[in-house]
Amino acid sequence: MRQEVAVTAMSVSTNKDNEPVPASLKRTLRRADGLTTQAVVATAQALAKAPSRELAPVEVGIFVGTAFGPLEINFRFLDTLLDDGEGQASPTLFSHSVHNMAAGYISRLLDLRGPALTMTTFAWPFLTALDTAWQFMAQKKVRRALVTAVEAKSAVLEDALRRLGASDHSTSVEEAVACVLDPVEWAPPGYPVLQDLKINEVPCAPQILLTRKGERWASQSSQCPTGPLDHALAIIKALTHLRSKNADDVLTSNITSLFGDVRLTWRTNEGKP
Amino acid sequence: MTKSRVAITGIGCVSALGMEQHTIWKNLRERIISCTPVPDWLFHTELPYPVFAAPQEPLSEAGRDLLEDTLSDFPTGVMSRTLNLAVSAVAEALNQARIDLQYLRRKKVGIAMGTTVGCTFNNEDYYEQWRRGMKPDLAPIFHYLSGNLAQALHGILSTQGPSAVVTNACASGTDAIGLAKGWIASGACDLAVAGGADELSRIAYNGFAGLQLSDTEQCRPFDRHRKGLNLGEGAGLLVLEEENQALERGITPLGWVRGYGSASDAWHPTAPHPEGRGLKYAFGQALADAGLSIQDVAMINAHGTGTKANDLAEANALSDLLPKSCHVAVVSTKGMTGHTLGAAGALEAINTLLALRQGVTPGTYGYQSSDPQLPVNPIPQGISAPLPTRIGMSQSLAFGGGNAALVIEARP
Repeated sequence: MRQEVAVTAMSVSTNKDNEPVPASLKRTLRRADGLTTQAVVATAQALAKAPSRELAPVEVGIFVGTAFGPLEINFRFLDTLLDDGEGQASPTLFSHSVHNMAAGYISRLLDLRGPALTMTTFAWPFLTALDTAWQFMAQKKVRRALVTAVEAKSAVLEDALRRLGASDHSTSVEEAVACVLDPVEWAPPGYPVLQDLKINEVPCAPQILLTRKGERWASQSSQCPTGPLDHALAIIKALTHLRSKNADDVLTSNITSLFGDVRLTWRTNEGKP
Repeated sequence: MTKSRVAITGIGCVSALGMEQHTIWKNLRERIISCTPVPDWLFHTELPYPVFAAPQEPLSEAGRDLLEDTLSDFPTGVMSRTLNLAVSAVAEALNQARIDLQYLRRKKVGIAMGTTVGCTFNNEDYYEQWRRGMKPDLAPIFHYLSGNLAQALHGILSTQGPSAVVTNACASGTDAIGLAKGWIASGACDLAVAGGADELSRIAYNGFAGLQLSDTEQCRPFDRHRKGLNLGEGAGLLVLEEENQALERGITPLGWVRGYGSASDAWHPTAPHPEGRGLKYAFGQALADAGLSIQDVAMINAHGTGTKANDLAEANALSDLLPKSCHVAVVSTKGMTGHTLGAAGALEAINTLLALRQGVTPGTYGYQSSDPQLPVNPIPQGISAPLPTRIGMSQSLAFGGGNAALVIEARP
């Protein structure tokens, strides 16, 4: 079993709800794409909700997970290359097409100077980032970790999904979800304390990683929804419901899928939510 | 339980310097390099920036043997060039560590890979057809979905264990090794394959050209007349395991990953902090993780890309980090490999280990005249520096403001 870690705040930012960009971030985000903007907004919101701690900027780490990264920015860069020719392609689009640009913006705008790692995986990008953040906390490399998962909408992938007959599975939402990890003593009453996480990925037909066909989430908690997951970020949204009626019950939540399975063990911190 | 040190028991590398470590070390020492216009078999371009291309056939004999031996269901016919480079490096590293597939499959194996190009959908033909309203065959999408480096290697090797693709731009390979070091130290896996891989791509080539960061001549890291970087490609992989396990297998480690540090500049999307703020912290963290001080370090393999901004920031940081009384050999190997992006940190960690094992480092190819604006001068081209200790550091800087550093110790 690992050293426990507490989830002390969570936030979701989505373009679907026309989430306003805070005025303090607007100017610096003017060149950023939707993916980076949503990641920054979600992370800033989560941080604002987290317990107030006196931490140096280097003591806070940023861990971003993504399945597809800034795919559409890459295509927009490709548009400039195909349309305008060599030597004319947009340098701004290129620099924003690297997968860690969202982490870089979060670091800069929130003045956080600890490690900033971006993990790219099709299966469970949020959980992979969470796993890495947890390791960095256990090894005392950071005292607080911000874990953010973000996906951009992609017309190219939407088309592929339609042609695979899975158009009800959506990549059309530009969305970011963020949580804050702190040592257990900082956990507010009722918040989840994570005890263990086991991720087991297995080979599968590649299209399954896009359609996520057969992926299901189940939790012992009566307050946590169960059922199919249809988006790379669905898992963390399910996690935002982690609550137990009885504090200190040790519960498990599981994901099963054709590309592997996950087992998360957790309890609710003492006190009523 | 006290964990023993994280040992390096195998290394594998492919770059423009060669297809395996002995050739690469020989070519590093003898300054035999391959910096050429972009070969037509890679992609056609009218732009004038030379590159460091790996051999046209990216799969080594050892890599081919490994693929034949695995008998896995992985669709090897659709492997990307990046994945082929990685397989070649994995095969060499496993052979050196004397790990066969039967042993590997009995163990919990972590795979941590750094990459940039290798995680992106770069199929221009598909995209061009798609944007013209056509319905191109979905095979390139499937290849992309099959191409997550860590998962693909797990699939090829039929192994199970932690899996991570670190996409921290040019620091990816360094961070991947640091992450795997943590896995071994915490017992998350029995052994780890860690490093990075990236192929040359027309998109990245044009991107760096657009940013005006590429040199039309061979790159000159830290040199007064430097004008930018040259892109390269390759793969570097380390087999890491707990030292006691290696000794029980009868394997003498090549060296150890002693320390890892990572930090952010919080400064600019593409430019490093001019004083190397994040780098200094990552460097200090790596030394603290190793339980060592700068006086213990014999060499630093710098990021040294040859761009004005990178080399200035790095020299400023090193000027603060290195005491005046301390004679640490600073070098960059990018003048001989090009900038291999997600593979760079891993290839440079390996070059550092090779130099430390020999007790001598080749100078910085391309560095011939000192820049009065840089407070630290590396070992120049044509000079070899003897190394008084077997401890060195390898450091990486990245777009997005990422910085990472490793402390490597070699067994003589």
